[in-house]
This record gives sequence, structure tokens and C-alpha cells, in this order.
Amino acid sequence: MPDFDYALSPVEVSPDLCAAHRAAWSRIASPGSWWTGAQRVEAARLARVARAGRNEPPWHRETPVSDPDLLPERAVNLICRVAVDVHILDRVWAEAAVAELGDAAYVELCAVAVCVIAVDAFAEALGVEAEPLPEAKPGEPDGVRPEGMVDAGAFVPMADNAAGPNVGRALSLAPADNAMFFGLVGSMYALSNFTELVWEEGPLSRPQVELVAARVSAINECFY
Amino acid sequence: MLLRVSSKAIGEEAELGGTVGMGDAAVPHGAALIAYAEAATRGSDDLAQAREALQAAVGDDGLVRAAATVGIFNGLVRVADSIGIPLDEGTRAASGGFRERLGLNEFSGASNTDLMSPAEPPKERGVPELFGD
Repeated sequence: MPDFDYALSPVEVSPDLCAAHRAAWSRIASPGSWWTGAQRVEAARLARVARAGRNEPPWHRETPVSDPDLLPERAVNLICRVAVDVHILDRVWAEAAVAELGDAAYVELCAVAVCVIAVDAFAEALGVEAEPLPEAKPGEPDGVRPEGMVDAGAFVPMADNAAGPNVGRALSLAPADNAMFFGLVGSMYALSNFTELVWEEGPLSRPQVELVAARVSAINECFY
Repeated sequence: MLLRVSSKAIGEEAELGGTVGMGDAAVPHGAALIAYAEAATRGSDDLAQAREALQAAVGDDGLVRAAATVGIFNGLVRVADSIGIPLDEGTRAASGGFRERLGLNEFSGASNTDLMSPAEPPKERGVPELFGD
């Protein structure tokens, strides 16, 4: 299992953050509800490879090669879009992918891809090598689809709770992976102190953190 | 949105143009934070230089905090756009003016939100009200 000790980092990384990254890697390697550990690790690899080519113009990019027995072509395309061109992923394309893959399987792949990208983007920002991907764990997907999902206007159904931001329930069709992602959110951004406008603790003020967040969002052309 | 309200909460007035590459946002060390966020997100050649400048400005822990923010927001934007979530109602109501001014309504993801229906008039809000509580 990878270390995530960031030993080569030029600055010290907190144990909480290392632990959250370790937990995400462990979860990625495990069977999900719709994909095996091997398929999820392959999804992570594809997301990493696609993101590495993000500065290539679209007409120069090549879809990373993947074993078609491991992931269907639509899944590979989804992962690459999430990694590189998510801002132009529209409802028509998403609904076609959902029809082919299933809504919860679609969400599970998105969750794996975004977790890898968050962890890799952190390493790159800090100037350290990306952590090796984990070894897939054995086992089969459990096929459990959560109940109580509703149409809230997104591409896929989400949990029926109006409180809190929509992004908090976006991945709720894949609850274990939603938890994985929000484990990262808690260690890398905010969780218990999300509703506090003034952050007394920490090396950056909340406006400084939100400025970085907003600039990253704008570069990614994220409307949300 | 959170930049604006959190800035007001400490008696400052952030310039939102900084979020789309215009100015330093009137936030302490804003220029270094923006340059770092841009270089890290784009993976551009000046990342090492931007990192060094930010570290000099905000220290080691500040650099790690900024790197973590870059990382997780590169994930969060992908959650939002891959799932096609609409803007939270409180944010939609309170952000109409600057969305228009900064050109955010031109982003493809704007089509995931019904921007034509009437919204509650903007008012001073805390974080929960922005997200529908």
C-alpha cells in the first residue's frame, strides 16, 4: 500500500492530509458497487494519463489505450472527459453515457476520476511526484443502489436533501465514494468549519483560500 | 461567492475580477495566490517560480494550504460539471450581478441552471443561506 508520506515534499504535509490521501487510495483499490477494484484502478490510471495531456490541443490528444475487456469504450471516454474536458460535458452526452453504463456506475467512475485528480493536482502543485496508483483489491461489486434518490435537475438523481450545497450530494448515487471524496474535502479545504466565514486558525485567511478556489474554478470554466 | 462574503466578514472588500485574471482581488498576497493557482492548475512552466514566490509570501504552511485548495477544487469542479448540478438557489439569487459582469454565464455549465426563472432578491447572507438552508 502506498505511503503518502510526502517525504520528498519541500514543506511538511500534515498527518491528517496524508491519512485522507491514503484512505482515498485504499477505497479506489477496493471493489465498488458497479466496478471491480481492477476496473477502478484502471479508471484512476486513465484519469491520470488524460490529465497529463491536458495542455495538448484537443486535436493532438490521443485517448489513452485501455483493455476493452476491462472497461467499455464509453467508460474510457467518460473518464477522459472528466479529466480534461469536463466543462463541455453536456446533458446529451451524459444521458447517453448514463443509458449505456447505468446512472450509479456513471457516478462511481466520476468519483474515482475526481479523487485521483484532486490528489494528483495537490502533488503537482506542491512539486512532488504523484503517488503510485494502488494495487487492486480482489472482490466483486456489491450492486447496491441507494434508495431515496430524486431528480434535482442534474444529469443523474441525487439524495433528497435540500440542505447544504448541491455539490455535497452530487455523488450520492455512490455513497461510499462520495464519502471518499468528502474525506478529501475535509482535509484539503473545509468541512466542520465550512459555514464559518472567519477562519481564525490556519496559515491562510478564508478569503485567501476562497480566492485560490475561485481562480481554479474559473480556469476550469466551472459555472457552479 | 464565498470570496465575497468571507472578505466582508473580516471588513475587507475583495475585488472579484481577480478570480477571472483581472488584478490581485484586493486580498493580501492576492497576486501570488492567483499566479500560483493559475500555474498549478494549468501545469505551466512557471509553476516552480510561482510556488517559490508564494512560499516566500505566506510560508510553508500557507503553501501547503494553497496546494491543497488547488487540488481539491480541481476535483470539486469536476464533480459539479460531470454530474451537471444546478447552482444552489441562494447562490443563484445572490450572484446574478457579478456572474454577468465577470462573464461566468458564458461558461457551458451555465446551461445546467435555469437562469431565467425569478430569483429571490439578493440580501446579506451567511454560508448556509447561499446553499439552500
